Amino acid sequence: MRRLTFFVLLWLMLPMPQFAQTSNIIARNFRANGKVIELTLPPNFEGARFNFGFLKDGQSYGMDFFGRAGKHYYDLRGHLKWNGKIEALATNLPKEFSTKLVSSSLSKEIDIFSTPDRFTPTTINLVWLKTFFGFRWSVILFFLAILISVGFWFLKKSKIGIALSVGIITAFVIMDLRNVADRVRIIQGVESTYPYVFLLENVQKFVPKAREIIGDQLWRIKGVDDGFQELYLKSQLADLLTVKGNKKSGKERFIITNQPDEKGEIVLTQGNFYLIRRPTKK
Amino acid sequence: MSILGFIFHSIINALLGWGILNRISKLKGNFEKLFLALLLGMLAETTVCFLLMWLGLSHKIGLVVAFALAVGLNFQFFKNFKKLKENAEQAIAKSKAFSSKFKWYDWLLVVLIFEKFTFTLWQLIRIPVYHSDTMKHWATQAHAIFGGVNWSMEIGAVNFMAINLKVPIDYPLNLPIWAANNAFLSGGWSDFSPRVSGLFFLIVIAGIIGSTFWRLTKNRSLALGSVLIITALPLQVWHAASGYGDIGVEAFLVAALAVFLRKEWVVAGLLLAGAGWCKNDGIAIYFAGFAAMFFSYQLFEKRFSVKEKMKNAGAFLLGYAIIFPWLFFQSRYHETAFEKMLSPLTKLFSFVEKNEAPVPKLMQVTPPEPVRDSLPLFYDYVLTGSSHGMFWLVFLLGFAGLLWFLLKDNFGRSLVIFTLVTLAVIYYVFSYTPAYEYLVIQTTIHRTMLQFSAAALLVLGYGLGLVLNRKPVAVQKIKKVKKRN
Repeated sequence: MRRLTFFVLLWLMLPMPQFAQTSNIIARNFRANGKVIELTLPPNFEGARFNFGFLKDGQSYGMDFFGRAGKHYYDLRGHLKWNGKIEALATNLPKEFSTKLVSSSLSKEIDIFSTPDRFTPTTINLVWLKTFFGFRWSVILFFLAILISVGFWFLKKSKIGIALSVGIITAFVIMDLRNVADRVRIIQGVESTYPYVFLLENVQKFVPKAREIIGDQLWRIKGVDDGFQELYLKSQLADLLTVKGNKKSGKERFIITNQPDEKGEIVLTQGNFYLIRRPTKK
Repeated sequence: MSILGFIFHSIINALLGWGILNRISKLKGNFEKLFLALLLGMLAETTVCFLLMWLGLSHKIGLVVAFALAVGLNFQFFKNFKKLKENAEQAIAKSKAFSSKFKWYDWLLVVLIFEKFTFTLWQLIRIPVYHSDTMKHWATQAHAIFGGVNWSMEIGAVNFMAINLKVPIDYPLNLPIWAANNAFLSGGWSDFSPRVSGLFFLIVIAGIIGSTFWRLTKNRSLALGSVLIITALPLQVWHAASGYGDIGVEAFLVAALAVFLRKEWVVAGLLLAGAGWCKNDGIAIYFAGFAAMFFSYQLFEKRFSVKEKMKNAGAFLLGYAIIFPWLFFQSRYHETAFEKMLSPLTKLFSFVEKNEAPVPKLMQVTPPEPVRDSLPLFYDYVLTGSSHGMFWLVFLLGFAGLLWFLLKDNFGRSLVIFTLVTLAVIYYVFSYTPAYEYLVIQTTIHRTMLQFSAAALLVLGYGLGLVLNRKPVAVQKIKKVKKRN
């Protein structure tokens, strides 16, 4: 498990394409208690995924975040190991960005709590950890539910079952209102680029034009660098006759690729996507 | 057009399911029956299509057969138009009476619930097919079935189940077939069709949870609150528009549990099979717990004779047998779902596969000490993480608090067994098998917990019903005395 964590962290610490360099040490040998990270990012880093990693008792740990343009605060206190003495804190963001450890305050807590959820391919798998005053939001809600239940039970003299249900439902309403706010922001973000969505813009533009050209002739995907975009292509063109993608059949008439030097004539270009017509065999 | 196609498709499913329920169950006409009918109709439609496709026919013929069955099974229902009108008027009057007693907090819950459906619909209309597993298999297979040229059910064919599109072929076909049918009814393919099943399932989950809570507690606000809890789970609205099979497993499982509590054994078997027809998890994770629950109930139910118990077991297994053709078909080209279920177990008793590679490869690592390694992750990600909000903390509290009441009741005891066995299977799968990796990287674990969430909530609902409908001790004593006399 430790070895796995180490390698997962190592992977997370690898430089992202838009980042100029690898790990950037922010602080060494400090006490984590109550500390949050202040980070100022330029507008083009809005939504960029990066990582804070830290070393404690010789073990490395890390958490992913989405960048927010401007000066904002990032919270590692939700990480179970972020307490006591920390040997080092690092990030895979470039060094030129102002990054420092600061003590928390009310305004910083509100800034952290209002960190928006993002619409990305990982949205379907998990919700990023939410914290409030350094505590996990779900744990706060749980205790809030109990508190409301006890209050309701005392004031209304109701059955315990009803009081607990009232407390739990109220806490769920509060949780949901926070999530509704996130969803409103996601709607605004998606609508601003409609009909294109994050990561698929080029391929979304490419598909309808390619469909028209391909018609009822054989096609296949070859040399598309991004697996996610390849999946999109495949699902969109699944009703058009294709050949086994992993074998050279030589029968296909069209190649969809990111490599413009593929043999044949480029009949469509959209960003880094090319539709190449193979020469017919004589 | 896509929305109209979806509505028409849902009506076919509802009618087909309603007709079947009228013949195999004693369920009376109510909202719960309508939601069950939707699921059962989907199951019947896709099963008919699958069998005909296996024979080499088009899925469209299967859809026509399903439509004919839907009309045929409800012929009497349509014939008596006057009664149909009366029933509709009664249902509207009931709904009006139900909502006329709403307090402000009930309306708040209604607004928040409504937001989930609106947001789901917005995603379906404005966002394309986006999430990776939808593109990897469900949507791609559905599109291939719809198109026809990349689809064959002939083993060994180059386009067998769309493998020429690099689609994994071990996933069941309920969703792809239903989506292809939906596209046909919508007049053409769009990204709406392979994902709208999620909205369908969300409606069913909300309906079954709400109506069952209402039946068990007779408390309007609790019923609405339960619907809010299940729809407000942070991942729920995303799954409702993703085209993934997990929300389907969730819907079929909770429906199976709801009809189990109504002693509808054949329907329970059918719906449990439906969970497996959505995704293999429906068999691998939930069959053991459900079967243990069913047989425990039969074993301890004193009102049933041995003959009745045998008959009930037969009915349940008969219902479940609807998935057997698929399992048989699958076994001809693939290791069966049963082998898949057993392979981790055999590994457990022989050796645990360890990752000796310097760089971890996906699905090649199991923890050397599962208790030490996986339990903290369950605590960190599932129990106190943000992906389920506080749902599982609440569940643990509720389950512990209601345990005493549940154990005193035969249905309650069976539900306890179901819960414990299912949680044990989930723990086993994500701790002792290579699926551990999906716990570490927080992917499948959250989907699995989402699948189980509605059923888990129903377990709490049943317990709550026992507590709230409990007779005061004095009344119980009087009853006992009367019985003795």
